[in-house]
Amino acid sequence: MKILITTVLLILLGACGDKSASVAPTDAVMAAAAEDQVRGFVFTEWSYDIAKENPGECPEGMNITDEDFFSEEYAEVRDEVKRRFDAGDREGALGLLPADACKDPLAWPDPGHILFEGDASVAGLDLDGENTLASAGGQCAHNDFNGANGKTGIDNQHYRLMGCVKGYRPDGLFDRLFDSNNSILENGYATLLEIKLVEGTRDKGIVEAQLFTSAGPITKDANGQVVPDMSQLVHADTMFHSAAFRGEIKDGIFTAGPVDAKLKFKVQAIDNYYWFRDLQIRAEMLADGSMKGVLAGYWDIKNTFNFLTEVYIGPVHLGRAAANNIGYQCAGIYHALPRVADGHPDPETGQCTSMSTVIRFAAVPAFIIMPETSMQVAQKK
Amino acid sequence: MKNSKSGGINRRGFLRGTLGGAAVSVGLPFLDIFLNTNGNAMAATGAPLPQRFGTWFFGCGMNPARWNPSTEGIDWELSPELLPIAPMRHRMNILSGYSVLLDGEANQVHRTGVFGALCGGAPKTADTVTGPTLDVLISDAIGTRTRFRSLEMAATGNPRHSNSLRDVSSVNPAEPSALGFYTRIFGPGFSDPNAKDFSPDPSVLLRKSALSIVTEDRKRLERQLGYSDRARLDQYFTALRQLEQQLELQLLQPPPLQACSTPQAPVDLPHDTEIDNVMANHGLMAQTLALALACDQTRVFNMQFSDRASSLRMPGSTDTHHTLTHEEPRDTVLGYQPNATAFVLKSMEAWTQFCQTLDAVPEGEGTLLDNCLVMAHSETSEANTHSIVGMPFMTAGTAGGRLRTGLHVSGVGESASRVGLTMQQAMGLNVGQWGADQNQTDRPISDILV
Amino acid sequence: MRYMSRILIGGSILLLVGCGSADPSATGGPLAMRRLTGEQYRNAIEDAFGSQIEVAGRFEPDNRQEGLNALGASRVAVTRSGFEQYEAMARSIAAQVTSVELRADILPCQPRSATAPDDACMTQTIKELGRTLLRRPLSQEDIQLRAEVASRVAEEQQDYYAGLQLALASLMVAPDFLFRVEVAEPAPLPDEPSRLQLTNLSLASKLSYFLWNRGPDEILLAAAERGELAQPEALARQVQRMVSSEHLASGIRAFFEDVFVFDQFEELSKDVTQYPLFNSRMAADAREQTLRFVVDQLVTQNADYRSLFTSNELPMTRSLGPIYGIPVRAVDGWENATLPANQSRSGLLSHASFSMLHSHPGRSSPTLRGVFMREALLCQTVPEAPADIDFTQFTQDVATVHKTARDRLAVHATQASCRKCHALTDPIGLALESFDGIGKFRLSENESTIDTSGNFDGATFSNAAELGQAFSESPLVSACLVENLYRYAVGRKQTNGERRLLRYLEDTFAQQGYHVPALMSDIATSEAFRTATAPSPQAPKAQTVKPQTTYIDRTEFDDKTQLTLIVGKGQSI
Repeated sequence: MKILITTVLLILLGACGDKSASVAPTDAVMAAAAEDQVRGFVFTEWSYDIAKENPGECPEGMNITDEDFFSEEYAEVRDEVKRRFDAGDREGALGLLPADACKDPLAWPDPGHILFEGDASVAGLDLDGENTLASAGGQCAHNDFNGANGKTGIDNQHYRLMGCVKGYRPDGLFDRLFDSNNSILENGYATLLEIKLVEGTRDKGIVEAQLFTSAGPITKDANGQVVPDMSQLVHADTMFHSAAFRGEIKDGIFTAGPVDAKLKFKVQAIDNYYWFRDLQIRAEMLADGSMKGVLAGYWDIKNTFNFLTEVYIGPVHLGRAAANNIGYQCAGIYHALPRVADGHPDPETGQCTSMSTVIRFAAVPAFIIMPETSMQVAQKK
Repeated sequence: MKNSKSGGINRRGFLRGTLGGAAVSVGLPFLDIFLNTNGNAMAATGAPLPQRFGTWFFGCGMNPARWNPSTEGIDWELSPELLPIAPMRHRMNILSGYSVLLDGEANQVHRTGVFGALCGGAPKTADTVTGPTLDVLISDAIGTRTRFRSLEMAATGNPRHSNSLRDVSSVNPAEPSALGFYTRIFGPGFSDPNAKDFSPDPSVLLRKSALSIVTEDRKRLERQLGYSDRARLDQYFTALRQLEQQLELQLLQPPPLQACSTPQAPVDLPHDTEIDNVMANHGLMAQTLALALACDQTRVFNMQFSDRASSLRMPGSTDTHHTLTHEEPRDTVLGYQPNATAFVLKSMEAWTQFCQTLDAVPEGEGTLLDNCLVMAHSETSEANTHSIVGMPFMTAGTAGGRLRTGLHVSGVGESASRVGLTMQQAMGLNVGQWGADQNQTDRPISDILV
Repeated sequence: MRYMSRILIGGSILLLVGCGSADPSATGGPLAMRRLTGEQYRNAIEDAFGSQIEVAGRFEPDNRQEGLNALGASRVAVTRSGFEQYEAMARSIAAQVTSVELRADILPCQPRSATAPDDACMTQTIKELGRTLLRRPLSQEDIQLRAEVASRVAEEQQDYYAGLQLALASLMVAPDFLFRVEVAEPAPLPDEPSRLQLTNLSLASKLSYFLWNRGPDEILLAAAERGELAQPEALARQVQRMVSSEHLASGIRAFFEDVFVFDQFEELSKDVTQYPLFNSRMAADAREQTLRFVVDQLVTQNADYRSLFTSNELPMTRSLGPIYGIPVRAVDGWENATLPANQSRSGLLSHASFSMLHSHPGRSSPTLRGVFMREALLCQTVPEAPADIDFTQFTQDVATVHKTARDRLAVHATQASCRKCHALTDPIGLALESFDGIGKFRLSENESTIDTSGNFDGATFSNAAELGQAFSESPLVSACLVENLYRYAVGRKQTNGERRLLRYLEDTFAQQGYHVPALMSDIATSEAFRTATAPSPQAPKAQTVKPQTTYIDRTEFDDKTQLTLIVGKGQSI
């Protein structure tokens, strides 16, 4: 009854309610932040760039999965696999299937992976400061993109890699996951950004910034939004503290970088970290104290493959199931990654070892609390 | 023998010779007042009818935007995916918006949603749960004196399709076949409950004794009190006497189960995951279950209409419901996945039929459904993203009048453990707080509790 | 620091007693029979059986009279469903106590054989545990009664512990466990023939429930059994010991939980659309925050009571950080914080707990806050609202005309029937408008700046902090505390004869620096506390039933945008 009444109350007196809804940071916090030299932020959105307005064409079609590629082999064993699975013999069931390239990428030769070749309106930055073309030649040669607002020279090889994968297209799996903000709301960790004013004022100045992974998940309010002004403890392992890097705030735009950063990510079956090299940030500082923009940098390609395939539920390796679900073959990706890589060439071989990537993000004010003792844990694989 | 005001008997005499499992004959002289004038049947306002609890599970959830009713309370508007329940809406409650809170644990797809809700906490690893499931807790309290502590059924015909467990190493297997289920209950081994010899629960005798000790103190206390305090003491002893009377009723042979009758054996149908076969098997099992309940063979049951990551299929198709939720594109005009959503409607249809089957058995003043509390739920809300936010919960039945029905309650931002706590309290369990970590709660959903 | 404060407390008490300036002799009012609250029940179980016992079940709701549950406890009985819960709890606790895991730790003796009766051990167990539970030694008859039945059960079931369970369960449903019955003996004076004196045991219970919110400990019980509490010096020593103990914090907590009406937190819900930040955990933390603050100030620091209204120290936990807009280091648990200066926030009145509790689900309420301050903190009565109110004139035009609460409430000033009461509540309630419906600071509402200035009984203030300052300087505040604390202690309103005592207590409170533990000690050692007047044997004359509480509770709407004020706990006019 109470709920019905409050609903009616709401409808009839909508404007009577507090306009100072709790989703925006407090007036007091903003006033304090204006004076303070240090401001903290917690990420409230994190998504790959799904170029919704103009995703571009894939004239050769979408990539196929292991299920399609091995359809004949699967058809032969399907009934027996099901029988074994229903009887509880999971290992036996999986043993009948073709070798899993997601566990052992060299189990199969390169089946071919369709890259995105055309034009699309992607987000991102010109990371290498050039308008490069693949035809220019060289091991890391690639075609830049032209951005939505007339920008040129945008480096986003991640899009070249995944632009013809069903799960990365508009209304595909990732689009829907990002719509429900899974990467923030179900994440066991959060990404934190701290900005210290070095010179100038809050609105126009030079700053020093640092990126961290938090010690635990964010706090959500009843609507599933991130609670601003919450105190966030930083992860104890310094592997997930980036070095301090320079930035600038001018005309409402925050730019910073480059910096290397390892950021943890634990959502559903993924418990891993991103390794971004020479990451740059460009974001708009909004009136309510939050910021919105992009992280653009080079994703180490070994880390990329690991991130995509090391997917577990308990002891069960789900890399192939994830690949089938999203729409690619692990063996194809494995061989395509060096081809799209455009950053950090190996000094001996000249082969590029990282791939330009864009993350769209948003962040709200938070208090960043450093742990009592930070520890350096042995580097994970 | 002391004749105290409470009308009770000297506990010494009562206890002598009645403990140690010896049967009590109905004809004890001092208990005549509980027999009606003919001296054979129980007075109509006698022992309460047994109350039953059950869960009804369907896999791969629903589309929140089309399932959650937009209004709350008693006149809530039927949403597109709830249309099938229209004929039974007044016997049900819709509880939308309740979630399993993760608190840093991983969302184990198709697992956290269901075991989070049934055990009261997000499982920490893929091979653990935070406690026994809800139905096991309830059967520990109310299922110890029936032939079966609980009954599990799987309309998909797979005995592994069961969510009822004490811990991960002891999962209660489900009956896969309607005929097998029937045989287990009404085949050899079934004894007509109306002809049973009755032996009273010795623990009830002990409880009565404890209360009669207290009654001895009454005079001494009354002497010490003023007028208004004496009146309050009177109220206390009235409440005590009422509990004593309840216990006395439990010591008598319960009335014959009028609703119980032995059904015909069902036809053995193929049992697999094709939707028509599942619907048919589900119907047969529900009918057998209804009579099993009426004959007090069990008081706790778990029906799985479809399994976690629903393997239901349309006739002739190899795409399961689960696959469709992940792979079928969203229709741009309709705004949802049409083939995947067809299974949601089928699930709601089956749920309605299940409740109607229970409602078709007259019992006491109403029907069997009135003396049941069934909780319908799924392991996810939106299956496509494995979302465990705002999962679907429904109840049917009133648990003998302990639950209101016909309501939609929205629990946005709240833990699903509130649903589990409410179910346990409605079934009379003495639990004030339930759940683990962020999902721990001491607040039942008072809107639906009487 | 704590040790120092205990010395200070102890010293000041001895000083007072030693001075010999006794309170104006007053005889207490009628005897009370008070039902245990849920918290007191749990404490009793913990005292008898230790902290490993889980008490699962629901307690009957308390009854609030004159603003205090402590008074309602003297009026309530036990309903049928309440009794069922008590019986179920008793069985569950008895089963745990006699369980294999715990029996060795809890029971005073073990039987020779677990499968046979053992009268000696059974009798000893019932005697010792019964004494703790019932707060008095059991009579031989009481013990015999239970031991016999228990032994018979043990024999028939071949299980000693089954018998013991029965005996223990019977103790825990006994009326003199669930109720604190005050027993007194005649002690007439020439001009007071119906004067009574509480027995030592009754006095011991009354003391320990007042000061510690639990039954008497072994030392106090033994002293009562020896009859020592009849001697003033011995009584004073016991009171000093109890006031210096760490258990005083529980007693102070229980008192302020009652005065602050914190049991309303159980029903608290907010409109999730307006306050998505709010959840029941945050509400529980806000409640705990205020109670920790009070205990910290009054017990740990033994500070001046009036500083509660001006102190800017506050225990903080992570979930409350966003409400106050300050960083919190601790991941879980509590740490001491200082309220930010730029929110003009200091003292009790600006705590999130009161803002949350005295607001509507979707917006703040200056009137509800004003009523709370007047009734609970100033002991003033605010009359109920008239039944035929039409609020339509200010529910419209909210976005343009009546933007802030002050604008909306200003209409009351134009109506004669509204003015008198709202003049009492609104000016002080409006000072707290800088805290929204869940206590978060804000500068404006509907884009209109909030004006928090006003007048409190002659003193002007411009914000909540200054209102707190005005409260700390008001003699009404301390007088109200004395009255509430006395009523809480004795479980009833003060009688006419006790009014002089209250005035004396107020004066002493001021003179000794407004230290609450010392005030509690003064009450505990007063003559009125340990005496009573005999109850009348006949039924009392019919009395007009006063409304349970004059709180204006949450407003609710019908679908014609008419507001119906609901008074008391859910009774509409």
